[in-house]
Amino acid sequence: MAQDLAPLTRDAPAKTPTDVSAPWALAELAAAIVAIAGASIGGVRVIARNGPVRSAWLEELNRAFPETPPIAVPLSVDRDRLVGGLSVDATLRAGKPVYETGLIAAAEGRALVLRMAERTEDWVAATLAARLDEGTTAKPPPIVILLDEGADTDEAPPNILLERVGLTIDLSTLSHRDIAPFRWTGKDIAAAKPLFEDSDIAPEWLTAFTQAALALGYTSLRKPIFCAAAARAVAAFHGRKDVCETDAALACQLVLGGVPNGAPETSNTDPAPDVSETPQSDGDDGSRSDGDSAVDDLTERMIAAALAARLQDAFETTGRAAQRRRGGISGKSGQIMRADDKGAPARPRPRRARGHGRLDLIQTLRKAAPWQPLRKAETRQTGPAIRPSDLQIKQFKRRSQSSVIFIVDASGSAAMHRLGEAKGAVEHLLSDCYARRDMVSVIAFRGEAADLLLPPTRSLVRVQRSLGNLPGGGATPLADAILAGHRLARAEMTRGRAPFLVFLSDGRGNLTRDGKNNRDRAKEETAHLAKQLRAEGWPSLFLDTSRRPNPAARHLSDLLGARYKFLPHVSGQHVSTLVRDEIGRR
Amino acid sequence: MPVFPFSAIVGQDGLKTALLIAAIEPLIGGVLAFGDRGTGKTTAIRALAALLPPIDTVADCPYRCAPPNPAGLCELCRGARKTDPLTATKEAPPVINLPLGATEDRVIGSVDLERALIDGKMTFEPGLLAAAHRGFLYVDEVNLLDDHLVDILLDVAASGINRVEREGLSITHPSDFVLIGSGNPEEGELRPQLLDRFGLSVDVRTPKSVADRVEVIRRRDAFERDREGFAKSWRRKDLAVRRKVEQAKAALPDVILDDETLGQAAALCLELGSDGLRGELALMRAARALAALDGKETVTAAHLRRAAPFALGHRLRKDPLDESDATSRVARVVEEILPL
Repeated sequence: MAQDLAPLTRDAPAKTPTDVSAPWALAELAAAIVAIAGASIGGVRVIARNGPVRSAWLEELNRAFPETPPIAVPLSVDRDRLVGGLSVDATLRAGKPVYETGLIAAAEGRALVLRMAERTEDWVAATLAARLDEGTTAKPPPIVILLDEGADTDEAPPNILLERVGLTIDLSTLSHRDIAPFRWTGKDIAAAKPLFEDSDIAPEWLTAFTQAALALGYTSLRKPIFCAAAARAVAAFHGRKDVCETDAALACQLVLGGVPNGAPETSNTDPAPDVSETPQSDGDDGSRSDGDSAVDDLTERMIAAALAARLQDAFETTGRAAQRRRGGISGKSGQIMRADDKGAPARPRPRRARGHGRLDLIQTLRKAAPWQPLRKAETRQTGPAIRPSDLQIKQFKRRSQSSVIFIVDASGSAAMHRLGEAKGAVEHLLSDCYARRDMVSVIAFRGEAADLLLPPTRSLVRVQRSLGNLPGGGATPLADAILAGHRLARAEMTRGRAPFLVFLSDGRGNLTRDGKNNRDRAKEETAHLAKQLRAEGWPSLFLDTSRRPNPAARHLSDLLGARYKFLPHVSGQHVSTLVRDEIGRR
Repeated sequence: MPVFPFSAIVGQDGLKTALLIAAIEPLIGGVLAFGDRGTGKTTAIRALAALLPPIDTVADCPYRCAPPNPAGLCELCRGARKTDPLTATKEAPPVINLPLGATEDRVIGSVDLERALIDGKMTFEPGLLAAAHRGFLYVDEVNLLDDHLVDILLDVAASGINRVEREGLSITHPSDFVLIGSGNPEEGELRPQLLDRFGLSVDVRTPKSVADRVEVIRRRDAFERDREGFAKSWRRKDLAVRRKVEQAKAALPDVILDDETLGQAAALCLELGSDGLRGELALMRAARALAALDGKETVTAAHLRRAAPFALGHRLRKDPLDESDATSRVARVVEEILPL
């Protein structure tokens, strides 16, 4: 069977070891790699919406695990189900402790599938990550399959999982016409496994992986380790013990092909050292400080392999952004979200028939107490007689996290001052609200459009980096700014945060959405969008930064349904206090 | 399955030194490792625990009581001692991972559901704080930990005792652990209260030189392929580190810290404006542990110089105007006060 696969890799000439023309073949290979390398590769991130292509891939993946089908982890998984514990119902019924195995323990060496992985809760991610870090103890860890349905780059699975999952494949460009049955079977995988254990990789490949990962902006050392494991798995898959260039290139494409997770600015900060040694485009000079040119050449080819995948990705992202779905939203700020095991305890509720959750023992006993004489007469058992209907579940209330979105006018002459103070306000808010854990973001508008200067963050470090030197001046695309704020607010809402918009502006836009300098049209557009925001009920605060109270700003603020405040002398501290009061009020 | 050997970790001297200090002087109050992802934080902590000498405990005691100390025994052991002599055993110091989403019950312990349901008795089921007693409590992504858990951790870490007053239980048990937190500052900062509570902090950066990075990958690859063999080839070095730790632990009470050095330590803290006495205490303890590790009888300025970034780096007063990082600020002041 393995011979049939030859075209997959050998077709590719040595100089351009990438095979982007056949994403399905790559996905097929990725499935084989996770099956062969298991714990050494952690798992795979599959970027795709639910659909026939993804289903087909999962279906085919099952071949690698004929006896142990993948286990699905639902989004709503609770602690007892994930890590195991006492099964209350079964215990009561049996009269002796009955334990259930958690999904993680049950999935030893099997695939653990997380659908809608971009919505994975932190604690689920952390628990899984801890298990992956333990590696193979008595039992192998699960192979994590992240089904990433993120609509855009803002929506991604938690970083701690992305960090520990080796491969990334993108099925979102494929149609059902592209899919075909995998050309390998469980037998091929079983044959490749011992080869993988014995396989060898030449040191120059390790060097090339390390440099390529660094040049592509991955500072984590896990990535080159994954490259090595993937390359060895590809070699083993083709019945070889030694890694050749095609194997290495495919490994790079699958491991380094995505966009580095975490902050996009990683590439221009200090931890990207010595990248100069690994030029991305031209490598004409042979006078490198260390390392021989052969290594550099390899590195370059590895980078080319990975970049080919990334280019594909770039096309892809534009497509995805365009088809971003529109859905209804409803939002009140600071609302209390019901979470089953976080936050301060609220009133207990009766346990639903199949619900999981923390049992409130005291309340359960209290509920059962009045019935004890009756029940004891019935059963003559010692100890409290508790029936499933007595069970009470603990409820916790958690205040939803607020997300403050600053929309700052950076046009005209006072731009620098306003932006500077907005930065001050952001820093103030952040250093004040460690305890509140609020997120802050900044959208600045000037010139042609509104830009997201600071994506939602809680990190002062990031604020200082992103808002270090801000641009200012130019026309006033106010309508575009409202739209950008609206978009971000919706994105924040889907992440479970309560957005709060803060406008710093004089309310006078002069640029239309299609980039024309037409004050009247701009005003119309602005009013239209503002009304829309109000209709959807987004809470906001409008800080009028004109020199004297200004009817245009007042009017816009009313249209937005915002709270209006005249603030000719903006100061960071003042703004921060106003915002905090305003959020506290809700 | 052997874990990755401590001595095989490339570079990361700061992290390794800080962990060794915490192993020698548990009073230091924990280590915070903040920095980039994928730099071997988790590896180093697991490796350290595997390297440390085993501790004497009472067999089957959930709180890991130390046998020769009748005063420090838990209720269970005191009860058991009346009927039978306690059996001593040796076990490796525990490394307990506190996962981000852990519930309060799981951390501090709760009613033993099993016994409550079956026997109708209210008994205490020890939580992670009991499990970590005399060992390490490791919190990855500590900056994302729920606030109410952070409060509990702070409280117990400071007192060494876990008091449970809830669900009709009233239990007190010792919980003395070295708190080790790690995280990435890009994802959010730590509350100042928790920051200050950590004795030492290390800024963990990804290795700068390609040669180092390649070496990391090579060793990791060698380890993945033959864990037993790799661990064996480093065992001698690991044992040497263990011996050094054991000797340092024994020598620590006798290490002398003279008035002149104390004065220098105070001057350093004053100049850096590190809030409170906690910084000064941590600095002195870290310097003494370093002296013990070096096999020296007296603490010198050299030890202070090395200990200062760990003990003071995270306690500097926030200066919005100064955007230079903490490490370089400490280095600058150390240059001034303790010139070479």
